[in-house]
Amino acid sequence: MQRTLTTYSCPITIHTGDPDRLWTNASRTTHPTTLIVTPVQLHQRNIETRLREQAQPMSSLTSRRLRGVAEDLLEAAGDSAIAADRVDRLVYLADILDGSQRPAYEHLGAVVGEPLTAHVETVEQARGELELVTGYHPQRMQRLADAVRSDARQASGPATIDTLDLIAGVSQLHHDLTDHFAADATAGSATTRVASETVLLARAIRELAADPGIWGAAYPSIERLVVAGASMLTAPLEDLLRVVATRTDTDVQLYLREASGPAIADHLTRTTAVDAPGTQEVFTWR
Amino acid sequence: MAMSSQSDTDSDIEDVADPAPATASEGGHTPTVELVGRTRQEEARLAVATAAGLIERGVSPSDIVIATADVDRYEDSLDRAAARYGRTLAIWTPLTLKRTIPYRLVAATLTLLAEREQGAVAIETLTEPLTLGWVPTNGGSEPLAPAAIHEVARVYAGVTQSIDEWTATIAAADIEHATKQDWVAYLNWIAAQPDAPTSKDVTDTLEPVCERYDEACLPESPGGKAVSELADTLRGFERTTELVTMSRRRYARWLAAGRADNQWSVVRDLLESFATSVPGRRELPTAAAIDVKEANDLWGLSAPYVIAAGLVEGEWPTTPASPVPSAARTVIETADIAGFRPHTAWTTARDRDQFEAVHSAATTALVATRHTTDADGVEKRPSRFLEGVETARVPTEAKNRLMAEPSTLPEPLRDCLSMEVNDE
Repeated sequence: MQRTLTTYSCPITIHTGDPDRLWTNASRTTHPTTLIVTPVQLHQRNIETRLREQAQPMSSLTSRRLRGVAEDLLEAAGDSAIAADRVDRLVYLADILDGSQRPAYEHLGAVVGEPLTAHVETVEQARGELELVTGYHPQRMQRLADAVRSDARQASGPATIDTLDLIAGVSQLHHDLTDHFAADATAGSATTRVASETVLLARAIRELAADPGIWGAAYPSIERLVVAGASMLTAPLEDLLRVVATRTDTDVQLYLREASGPAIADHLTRTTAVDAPGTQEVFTWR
Repeated sequence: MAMSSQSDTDSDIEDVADPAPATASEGGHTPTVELVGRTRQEEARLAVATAAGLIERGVSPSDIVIATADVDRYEDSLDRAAARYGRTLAIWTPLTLKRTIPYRLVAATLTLLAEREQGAVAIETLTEPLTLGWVPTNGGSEPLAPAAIHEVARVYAGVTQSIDEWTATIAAADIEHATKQDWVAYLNWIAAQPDAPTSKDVTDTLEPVCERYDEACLPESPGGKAVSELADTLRGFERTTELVTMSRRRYARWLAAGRADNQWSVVRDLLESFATSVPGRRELPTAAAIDVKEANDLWGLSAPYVIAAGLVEGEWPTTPASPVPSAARTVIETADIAGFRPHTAWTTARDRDQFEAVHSAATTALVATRHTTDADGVEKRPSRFLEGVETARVPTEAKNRLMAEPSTLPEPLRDCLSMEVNDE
């Protein structure tokens, strides 16, 4: 069933603070009905410990890492892939930066440190942080650029230029990284490997938006998707939750934490989904 | 979409804007006792003395958790304090894999093979695997005695030469016969390892090294050492063998994709990368021990007594750091851009969440500890997270009594204890 979003309606049920509803809702069922995703792996074990202590049945619950959810959806879409890790990325990044003449990398070097090849780990950290914040989604990057430019305190100042160069540089790098992995895949590797967990998730979001039926194919008995325990709601995760909540019959619940939760919840309820979720692009500005 | 009882917009907003009632309905946060040490060591002593005092008054060790933002910072001082009060700690923390002997043995063996690849091997590189417990892979021999290794190391200090030359040198050396035989066996083993290794060679070479180490060197009981040290070594061994397999697979893929040459140095770098990014965890659950956990691990759990250590500015919360320029971070934090929220590395929100999780985990009492000066005598200010919490500060005299005799628990804690006993 589709549901039209308005500015003040959020399709996701949000709980902030103590996750006690998680314990009280567990029950005994033949097939799991609740899929729990905890970005911190240990938290999964804490949930099980808690239920065991209360001698509560938990066959209604099943859990996956976020990466696992993306893998399941892609498999259901007939487009199986897995995500590369940091060890792989560092090698590829060194390859990409070594000898590249792209102006975007020259400007990035001015922000992060030169030569870039001597700062691969820092570059990867910046790429990783902005990946979670923007998802390298064109609309988000453009909004960030607009906000930086319109900030009266620093418009046209070096901080504005640095920020724009950083987004342009790391989004280019992210694109080149994605290409490198795609080239490996066409070179005949058995499994398609994409650059990062976010690339994997973005791909799954695109598939899901194109064909919401793959959700039911991947999770036939699941009625509820629960995400719990994170201090940050990343851009790609927000996009996934919005697509699942609005395009499938699944109830989506987000358990936020006590301190960071209210601001995230407030932000979520005041804003709407981005266009074309799961899209990743390069940002350019000069 | 499916409608749940919570999914109408009004209750969402209510839920969001005012999270307090949920907590209040459970009677609010538990009483908080504050203990202030001069130094980190004194703080650790106060934390463990508190736990020891509770245990002496009948509380089960499994009902006490010591939590801190970064266990690494406290592990040594907590261990010392635990020894002083005769208590056992189970420290749950990422494994310091690179400091474990099994990892160092495999890494040293790879460094040796990588150096051989370059032509010449320095005496230090040659002796390192032996020092760490390399045992001949064919036969029941013991590791070489340290004296036999040191003797050669001393005589040939500063020498760097090929393995063939080392074999000739040792053959001609004036050393005891049995020692010489062991050295020759070692050098023969090195010479027998393939150049330009395939991925299969990686496990063919390293797995027997691990197996022999397991049979000949891996201790089964702590002996005179701390239990946590044995746990480290055992987990280190397990994790190292896993990483050898991971390295082999990744190396195979890189070779297939033409991303790397057949070199031992590539394998060594891979192992090192995995050890850095996925060191694994050390876990040693025993009911007789007091758990020491990272604050983040307490989410969703509860325990009657939680001792939160390290509540000082700069540690809990830490100072945010990122390669993203602070101007850009500030814009994201303040501009309220749709679809945009700051990364957790840019703010103290994550640290605060962890403090709140620790606070709500405590069902009978929270003991907040901190220290006032660092090792250089520089002042350490109390964490901002304590500002919103009403605490009963333990006066100096009672604090000193607690350290001298844990069963003299300070009054606010004794009160919690008697309340709990009355409840039962």
